Amino acid sequence: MTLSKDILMQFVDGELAPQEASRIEAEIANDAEARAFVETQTALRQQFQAAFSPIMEERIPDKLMAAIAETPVSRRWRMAQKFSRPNMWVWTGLPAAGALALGLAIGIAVNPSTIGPIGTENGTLVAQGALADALNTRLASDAPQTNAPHIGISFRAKDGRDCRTFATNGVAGIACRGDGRWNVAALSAAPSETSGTYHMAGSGMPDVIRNATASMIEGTPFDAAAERRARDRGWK
Amino acid sequence: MGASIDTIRSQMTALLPRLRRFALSLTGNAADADDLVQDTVEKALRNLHRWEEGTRLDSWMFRIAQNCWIDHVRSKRVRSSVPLEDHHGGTSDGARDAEARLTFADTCAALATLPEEQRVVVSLVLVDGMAYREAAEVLGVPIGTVTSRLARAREALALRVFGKKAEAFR
Repeated sequence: MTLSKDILMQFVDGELAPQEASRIEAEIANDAEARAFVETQTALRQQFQAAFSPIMEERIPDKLMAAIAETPVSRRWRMAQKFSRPNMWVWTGLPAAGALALGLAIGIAVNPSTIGPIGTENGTLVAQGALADALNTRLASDAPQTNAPHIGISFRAKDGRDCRTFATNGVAGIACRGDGRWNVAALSAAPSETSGTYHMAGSGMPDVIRNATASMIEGTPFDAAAERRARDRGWK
Repeated sequence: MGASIDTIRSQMTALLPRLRRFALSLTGNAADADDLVQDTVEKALRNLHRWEEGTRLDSWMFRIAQNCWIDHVRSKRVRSSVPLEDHHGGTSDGARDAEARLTFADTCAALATLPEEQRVVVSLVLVDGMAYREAAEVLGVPIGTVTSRLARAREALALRVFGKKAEAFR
């Protein structure tokens, strides 16, 4: 075997640049020993993922949801926020927001038996069903539909992904495209009675979602033409 | 502008499935895994000022989780090993279930033989699927350290899990 085990390990773990990976692949084809090593290590990787991954599909225990919703944030963080961003704590017209509502919304979302707008896939929250359809296809300029998910603004995030804000079933959030899915990057309770009245892009979103958008966005939101182009090329 | 606390809490919630899987691979059973994740979440929120906004929340929380676990193992000298029962509890019917349980127990037993540092790297790279660079960031070590720990761990694991077939590569 002429290839080093380190290189082969990196090959198995997807660490090599595409060009390097194809070079190794070609070499492995003529090297039975290297091929066996790669097969063993690939099987090992698959076995470890398979052994531990079922827990990701389980319902999140209440005590963990409670720990996230109820643990107080460090005083120093709150002080720092207060001085740097005086308006951060103003919640406008959001009756049921806050920890409890957030917990409820996500409690619903992560229960795999619930066929709702949001589910889990490989441990991340993803949009599904009608929400995923709306994120794929709807433009902000489309006529609002009763009981259909509302799509707010679309934008390019600093990490390069296309993201869209949405509101549906009493929650509002941000979904970003990645691995062929819409990953939910932020989620909040939303006043359900206004679900049909978000006419201005983004303006009806809860503060928490608007603030998250502001922290994620690269530049400005897509205009109508950019939004349509992004949709037509399948988002990225 | 940075993220509000509700955004951060919702981002943490989205990380829970991954953190639970990571914790399960460290502790070997679901109850200890959830205790570890709970400690991690509480520590993260109580020390949120230590998180540098703009850096990855997941890397930071994985680091807290692994620190909590190492502290726990070292202070209590818990035998952090060998859960032979299914982590789901008692239910068992069907060959599929038996197969899954065997894999879980075998895998845990193999992991339990590794030194803690190697076990963490395996949990990050093989179980969570992190890139070496990310794992190095979580652990605060150079990437070369991740590579060498992983190479040693892989060799030991392959031998244990696949036996003779892997011995040829030692």
